Amino acid sequence: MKTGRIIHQQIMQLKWHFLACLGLLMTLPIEEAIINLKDGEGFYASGLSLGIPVMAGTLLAGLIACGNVQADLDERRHIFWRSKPVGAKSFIALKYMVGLFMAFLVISAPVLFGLISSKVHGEKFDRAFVALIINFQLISLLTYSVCFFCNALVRKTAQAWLIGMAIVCFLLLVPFVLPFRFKDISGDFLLIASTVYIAITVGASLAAFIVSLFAVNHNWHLQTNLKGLLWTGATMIFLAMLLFTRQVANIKVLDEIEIDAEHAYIGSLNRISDSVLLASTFEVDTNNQKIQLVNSFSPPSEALQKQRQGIQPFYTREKDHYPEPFPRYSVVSYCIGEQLYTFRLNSYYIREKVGKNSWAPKYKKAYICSYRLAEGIYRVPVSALDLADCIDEKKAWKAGLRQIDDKLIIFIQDSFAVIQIKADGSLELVEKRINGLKGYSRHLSDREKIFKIPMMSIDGVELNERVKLTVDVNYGYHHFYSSWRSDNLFCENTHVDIDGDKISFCLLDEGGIQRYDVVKWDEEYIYCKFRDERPFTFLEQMFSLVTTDNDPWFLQDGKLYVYENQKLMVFDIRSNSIRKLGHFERLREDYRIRDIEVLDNGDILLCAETEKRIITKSPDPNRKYDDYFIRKGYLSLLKNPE
Amino acid sequence: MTITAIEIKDLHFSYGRKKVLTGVDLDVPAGSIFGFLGRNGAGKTTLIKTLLGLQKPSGGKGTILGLDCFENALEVRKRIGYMAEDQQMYGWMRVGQIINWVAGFYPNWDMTFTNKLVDILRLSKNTKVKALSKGQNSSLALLLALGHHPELVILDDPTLGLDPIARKDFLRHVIELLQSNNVTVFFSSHLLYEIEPVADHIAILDGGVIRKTGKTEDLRDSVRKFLLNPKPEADFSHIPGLLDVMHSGESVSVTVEDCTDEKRDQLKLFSQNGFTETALNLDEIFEAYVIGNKGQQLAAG
Repeated sequence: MKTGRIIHQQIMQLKWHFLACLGLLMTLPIEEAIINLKDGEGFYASGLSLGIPVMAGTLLAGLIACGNVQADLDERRHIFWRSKPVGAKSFIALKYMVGLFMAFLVISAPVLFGLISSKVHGEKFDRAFVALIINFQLISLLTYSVCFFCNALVRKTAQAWLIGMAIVCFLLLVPFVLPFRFKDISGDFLLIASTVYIAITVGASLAAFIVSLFAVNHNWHLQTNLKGLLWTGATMIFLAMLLFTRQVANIKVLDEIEIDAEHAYIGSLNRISDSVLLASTFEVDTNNQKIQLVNSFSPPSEALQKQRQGIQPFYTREKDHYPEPFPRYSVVSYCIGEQLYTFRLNSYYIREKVGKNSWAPKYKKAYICSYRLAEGIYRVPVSALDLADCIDEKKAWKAGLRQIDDKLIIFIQDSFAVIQIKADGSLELVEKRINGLKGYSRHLSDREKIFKIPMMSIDGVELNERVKLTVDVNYGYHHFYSSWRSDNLFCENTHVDIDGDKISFCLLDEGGIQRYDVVKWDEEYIYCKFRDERPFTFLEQMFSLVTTDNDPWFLQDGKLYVYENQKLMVFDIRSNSIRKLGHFERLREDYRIRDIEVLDNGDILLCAETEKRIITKSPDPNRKYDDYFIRKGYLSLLKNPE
Repeated sequence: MTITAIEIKDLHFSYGRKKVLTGVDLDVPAGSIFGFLGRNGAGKTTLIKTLLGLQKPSGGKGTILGLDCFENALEVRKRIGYMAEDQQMYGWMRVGQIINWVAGFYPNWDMTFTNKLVDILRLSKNTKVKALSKGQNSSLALLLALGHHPELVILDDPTLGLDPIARKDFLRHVIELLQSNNVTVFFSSHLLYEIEPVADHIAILDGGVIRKTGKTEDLRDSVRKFLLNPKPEADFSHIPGLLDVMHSGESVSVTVEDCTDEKRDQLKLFSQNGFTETALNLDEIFEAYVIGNKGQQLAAG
């Protein structure tokens, strides 16, 4: 066999495909280059005009693959070359290689153009973009190989391409949809080099190529008709939707109401005694699985006004002092008899210049204050303790507060104080530990080894609670991003699950959920060991990234609640392996979940808002446009998945 | 040179459960023009594809030019020329391009001879294959089957779809180009009148088996038709080699193979007043073998 002649025939056969695809893919980069030239920047292309052809190239690679063998595998024409003294496998392998080379040539053309023209003009390629190109080249290889294989079987260009693309989508998505324990797969898999992903594309391509050789050699022919194919496609879409629906919407919405946007924006649901308050103003009634808002707001009585006026402020704010309360939105409350008390750490900072146009807060004052709740929602100051000596002005600010029975543990930077809540709601300092948190750090230890965390030693607090507090301090309070952290993460929520004598805790990162067991503890340390991990699937990471570890999530009654923006997920963390129970998602870009509260009956109350930006022509002659936001709030009552 | 160009022993082939070839035995003498007859769907193309190694038989053996055609398919294909029924080629290629492309598969391709064939077959190298007429397309397929001087040429219904003039023209070329060069030609067709003038050997395939094979002249000589008025007790079913019995009013026509004087005497006994004996053309012989009732109708009556 004279290979050169076969290759020549192959190139001639594909030349129109090649030129058409090249024309299509080069349109955008050339257009960008021309625009750049017109703008006086020179004839070069970079960025999006290259990204789109690279992505479109994956589709065209499939077309080239189908066009490549279509003429040879036609029902009557394939006898023509098969009756020649050439092995079917070598003939098809050669065609595959030549076609693949031409497909890569086409797909690489815009990239090469971009690379060369950018280099000439001193522009640099973004590294992430290079990874994107490599990944899409791999997808192109997969598309080409799978479509080649499909055409070897189906022998009809359009149908082979459709089936091929469906298989490619399946191959690309399924490993991410299913919770396989691939450690290096994440939502931005197209922007990073993942070995699993490379293995899937290269492995599937190789398999498709080998099976194609056998299919042609044995003249396997799959009879298809377009109608059947469309039905199959529709069924597959339906099944995918079912799978997707299960992923996104298996938490049942029992009731939902629209609420005044201002309250939604404030967005916090607070449990005070038996009630749940929205924005500290409305009591949320969820009887009979219906949401009703009861306005607890009524002007304070004259007596109360007088009483409040008569109380001396615990701190007279200086002119340059800015207040910073903690927690900002949530409420730490304690009931003594019939009376409810709330607590707050009030801190004050000054603005210190750190650059020409920038400043940094420098904290000067910190008071832990207790308030008596009167007439439903009004706070009447009871007492305050000065904790300014816990502040270290050289360190970044962070604060925390945890109430355990009649004690408050206040955290300020690396120090903490234990406060006793007295029967009249006033506060008494039990002890103060300056730099008492120095031994804590969020270390990522070897998963195989047992590691230890220094036990918080607080008199009068049960051991279990101290273990819980220790873990939360280590991972929740002592945190990389504590200044960004939600109030709730430490103040109200916990990482720890106590199930009888078993204590475990969970940590989250972008890759998934890690579960650790507290294997033993003593007065000095608690000893922990990594147990298992549940990676997030591709769909769980779609639309909004789940989850940076400063996002709100918490454990309650053996369930892990994770929420961010559009989604809420519930996991069972007491089962043998971490099991997903439910997923709620709203596919609206502007949908933001603000807070959730698990009610006594297990139902979940969810507070969210949407925000739409409206741009209008400005009446002001100095400004072209004005913009404003239309906000809507929602309260949803969700069935807690089991 | 081998005496037998094609030798097939007990060849079986099925498409799933459907049996197409059920024990085909066939010898094609070297240097002959072998007419391979069969109705549409009889299994002619299946047999040829199997011989070319394009599909695996479910049983049996086959050799072409002394080579096992299943084990040495590529070697066999180098030494034979093949033209499929209604041959489809790459329409976007020009005649010159397709000749060059096919030449790439054969180490002994003779380009001078091919150029000569282009002239003889009145083809133009610049014409696109898709622009060729059916007759020209067949000529090109013939050219591509002959360019490497094959020892055996297999033509599978090569004139399918051609008009009578184009068919005659094609057959003339086949005779001109092949008969004089001692090339074995295996000519499959269902059109008997186009085989009759050129074939020196014949095989009839029907129902997956070879019904009859032999020299064309011998076949013509051995099959005879007798017209007679039968006696009431006449039972033709016992005559050996009975192919067909047809009633026409009072008289009966009886077709018999391997006709001997003994069979003639037997027929005389069944006749009231003797018989008229006629020779058959290939068309009639084929009909007698393929759709002849072998006296069954008569016996039933």
